[in-house]
Amino acid sequence: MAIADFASYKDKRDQNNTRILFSKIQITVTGSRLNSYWTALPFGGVAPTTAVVPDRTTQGALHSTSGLQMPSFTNGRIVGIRTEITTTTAATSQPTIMLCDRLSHQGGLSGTTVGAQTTNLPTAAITRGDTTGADVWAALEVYTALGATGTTVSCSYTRPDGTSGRTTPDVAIGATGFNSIGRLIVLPNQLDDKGFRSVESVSLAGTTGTAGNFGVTLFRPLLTWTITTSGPCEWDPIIDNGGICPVIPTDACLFWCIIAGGTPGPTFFTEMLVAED
Amino acid sequence: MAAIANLSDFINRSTGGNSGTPQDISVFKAARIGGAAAQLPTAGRVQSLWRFDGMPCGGAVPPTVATAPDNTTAGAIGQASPGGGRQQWLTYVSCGGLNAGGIMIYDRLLHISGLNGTVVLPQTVGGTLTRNTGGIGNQIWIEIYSLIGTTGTTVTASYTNQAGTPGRTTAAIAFGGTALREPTRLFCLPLQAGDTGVQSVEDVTLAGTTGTAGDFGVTIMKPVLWLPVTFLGAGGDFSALSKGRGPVEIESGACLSMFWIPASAAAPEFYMNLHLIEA
Repeated sequence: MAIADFASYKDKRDQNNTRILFSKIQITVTGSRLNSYWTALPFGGVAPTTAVVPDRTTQGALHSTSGLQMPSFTNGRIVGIRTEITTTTAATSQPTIMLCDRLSHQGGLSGTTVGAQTTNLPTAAITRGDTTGADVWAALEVYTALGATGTTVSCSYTRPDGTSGRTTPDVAIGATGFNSIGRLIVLPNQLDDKGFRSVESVSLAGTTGTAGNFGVTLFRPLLTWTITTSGPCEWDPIIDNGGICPVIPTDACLFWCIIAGGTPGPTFFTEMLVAED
Repeated sequence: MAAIANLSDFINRSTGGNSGTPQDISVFKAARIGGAAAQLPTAGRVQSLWRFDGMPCGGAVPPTVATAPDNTTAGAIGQASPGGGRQQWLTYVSCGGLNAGGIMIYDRLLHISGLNGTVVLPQTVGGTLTRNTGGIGNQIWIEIYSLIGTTGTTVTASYTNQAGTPGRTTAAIAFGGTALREPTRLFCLPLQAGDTGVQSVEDVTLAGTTGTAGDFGVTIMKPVLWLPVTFLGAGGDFSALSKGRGPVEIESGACLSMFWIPASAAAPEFYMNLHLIEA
């Protein structure tokens, strides 16, 4: 349900909301590329094995700092975010942040196996939002560091209209920038496609030199914003984000993706205001 | 053009009321084309992101007959068209990534490829615009799809201006040679004095051969939003109510795409988010 007017919006921001508190402590990141804070403490997630659908109860999903789980919202809408951000490096480490719903994940893939890997694949069927996979992103998430040899990787996937056997264009994997823990290597769509319903296999063109551990994560970005100063920041979705008040899918597994200018990434202390229609 | 009445109306439409039909579109672009590493940019020179792999997918080399792409063309950002005769507005863009520079979001009105870097006779462009057909604000760009030659020359275009006057001629610009010949390079052709737009491009003419045919084309575009990407990581953003310019009109069916002016010659990588509403 839409927010009727400014008075209703102000009421939701000022009092009629649920305040979700959580923190995430800085982790090593790959500068200026997409990184996952899935494993960041406290309540950090662990590397998945078999293909599963995580939800708000899965360790790693954004919880309160007291360990309480994210409530199960029905039409919960973000109407404010307040963040205290601390960095230990120069101003260039201020990040772009993506708040995402982690829809499906698996792990156990190897950085030394050349050719199609189907371990713990295909990915588990999406259960939240548009379950066809429209506008869903797919990424390879590194859980244990891969090798120093650069190669390329592609995936076979099913697109939202159900057509299987689609192939992502090759992207880089392994070597500096593409092998560190937490790195999310986003997979592009094949020409004419707009999303991922599932991923069936992952193929490395060559070995990275170290098996490590990586997996496929399907996720849907909900909100992206930029933080150009450290310290306390407050975002009014209407003023600062052009009107974006994203609805949180019921039982969403929320997690941060970060593009930081340098490493380590920042530490966050966050208060998110969620109002239900 | 329909208007957003006031702040309450903006809030209501942004959250799905009053047929606001909000759309949030996330975009990822990597410096790869068809799975292969893309040409590295040249600092301070314009690089097209039309063909860059990502989410949504990269675009194909345009047809060799001038074509008007739209929001359903592969490579476009791909927003849904507004319904019920409503106007679409862009109210938010954020962009972070690997490099500093600036990004232009534009409406790709018409494009053609298959032009030859060795032909010194006029090469036909033609085609018909389907958006912003009056031409005001439209620009003519040369876009390279495969490497042309090492010999420097110049290029001009003959076009019809915003008043419908044919036979207008752009200023000549350098073409061919190092940093002016590589795939993904874009060159803006300055309009003849007094002109403020373009309805069509009749042909383009090279003053001399570049030495290699390659493949280049003409793109007619209308700029939509210039976004400085000032910081590594944090990038930059635009919000309609806090950046001093208000919502930006998006024509129905616009083929939204991007080009990039890098501060360095490093391969770029972008993560963006756009928010659109209707009124």
